[in-house]
Amino acid sequence: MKNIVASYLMTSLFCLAIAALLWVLSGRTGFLESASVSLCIGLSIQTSFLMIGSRLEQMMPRYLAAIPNVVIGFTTGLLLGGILIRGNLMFYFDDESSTVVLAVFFGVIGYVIFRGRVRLIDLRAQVAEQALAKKQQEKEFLASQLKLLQAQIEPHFLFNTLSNVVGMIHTNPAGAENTLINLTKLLRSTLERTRDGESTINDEVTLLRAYLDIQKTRMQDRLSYSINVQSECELLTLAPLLLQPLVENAIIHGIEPAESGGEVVINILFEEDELVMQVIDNGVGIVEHGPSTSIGLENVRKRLETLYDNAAHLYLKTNHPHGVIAELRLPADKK
Amino acid sequence: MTTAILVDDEPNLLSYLDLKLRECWPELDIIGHAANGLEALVLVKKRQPDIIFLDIRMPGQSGLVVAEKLPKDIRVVFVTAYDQYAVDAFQKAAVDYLLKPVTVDRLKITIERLKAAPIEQPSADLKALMAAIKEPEAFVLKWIKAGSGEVTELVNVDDVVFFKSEQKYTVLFTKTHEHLIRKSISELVDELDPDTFWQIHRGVIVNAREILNAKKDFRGRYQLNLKSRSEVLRTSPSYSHLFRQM
Repeated sequence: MKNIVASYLMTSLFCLAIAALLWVLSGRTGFLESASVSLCIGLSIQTSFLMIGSRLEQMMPRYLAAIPNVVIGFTTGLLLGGILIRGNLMFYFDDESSTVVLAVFFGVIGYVIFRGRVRLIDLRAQVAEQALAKKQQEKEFLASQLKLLQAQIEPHFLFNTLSNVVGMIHTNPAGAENTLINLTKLLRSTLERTRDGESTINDEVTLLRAYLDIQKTRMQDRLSYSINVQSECELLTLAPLLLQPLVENAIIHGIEPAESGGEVVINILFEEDELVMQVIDNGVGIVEHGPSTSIGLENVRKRLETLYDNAAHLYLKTNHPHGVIAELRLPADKK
Repeated sequence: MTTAILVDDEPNLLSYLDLKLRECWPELDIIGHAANGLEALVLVKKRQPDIIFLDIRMPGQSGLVVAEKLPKDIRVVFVTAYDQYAVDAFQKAAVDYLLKPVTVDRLKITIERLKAAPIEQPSADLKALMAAIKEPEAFVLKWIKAGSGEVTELVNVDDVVFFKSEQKYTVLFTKTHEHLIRKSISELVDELDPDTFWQIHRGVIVNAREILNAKKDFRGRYQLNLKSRSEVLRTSPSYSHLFRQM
């Protein structure tokens, strides 16, 4: 609303300026009449733009859409001016002072200026929006990095692991030792990867094995796992810790809640020009109305977006007869 | 002789608790172990122990659910991993609890209590305890099954940009994909989180976080531009009030 009032005021000022110019240059008609006619035309054009402008722009290119607007606007304006000032509808079409020609001339100039201003405002808004979006994205990326770190050193996982170590220390010292070694491996490589920002498939698999072995120590026979890596993929570099949250989800939301446990299968392979990484579990599966447990997934998605734009995808599917298939597809040539 | 059964889904923790209990309370007769709620209930029925040491987070039924089903004369000691909220709840409900890993000092206190009042069971507080510990249940739709057949894709609702009804189906649009889904717009309106998902038209629901801007036309309707899709959505007049203050 404020914008509309402002633009009517602008138009009025512009019309008065034209009227003053004509009055000074020609001196034939009085200023009052010039001003009135000018205002009639200007405001008619403006109103025409407001009412049908955007529709016309949908039907034809912008520069063409201006023509019907100006024609309708100035015709209405001249008729209006004629009847209001001279009491004769056709007065300004008949007179010899070429009012029509002048009206068209100034109408077009007015339109060009008006349109340019609108475009400029639109563009400025767009630039500001983009800058904001970029800033937001950077912020989110930093936040997701931080969350990633926190997720790795999640207190529940740490407490559970340490409880198991304590539990084994007398009865199964070798198991306790192994678990501590795995925990050390996991923590060290997590810290290193988060710092370096890059990793290889081999590094990731080592980390996943350490994680899965710890979980297997906890769950024993209830968990089995296998990792299958196509040999061509082994040395490929990629963003770190993309798979780990998927494996963690498979365990925490798939296998752990299942009384009989289950299996996690990880496949890493090339498929055409994509690197495909699957985490398949046969656990309890995802409940449509489940609690919001997708913090890990959201994190992976955000990082994929920042790191690979729209070239990387994360798919989640139901496994048959139960469980979840998480599939990560990355462009193989990048990173 | 006082009898007890121990329930935990993690074998290492179970055997450790067994070991420490035998050390600290040699007279206690540990008559069995169970790895989940179902096994525990069967074992209780068969052996009728005086005391049950019950893990809370287990596959299938949680320890709290199991405790509710137990005969009233069994004394329950909850065993739980670190969880600040749980600890607060236990203290308020005045039930016996142990934190994992179980320490000998703490275990001794529990044993003294059990010896002093062998059949005192504050069962009335169990419901309040459950309410305090249970994760808040979310009834809003989080995942949408797309496609048909044995394997369906799961789409997280946060990834949805908008839903649009098309004849008999609903089409779900994410940043990069489109899926046909079975739920109707009216079903979705009921199940989605209304703070995030706005119905803007009889056949359109949009994720409010995905709206880039709203432009008003002279008839008072809005055209919505989206952050990550090129489609322009139009509101119908009855839903335009959503954008008045934008």
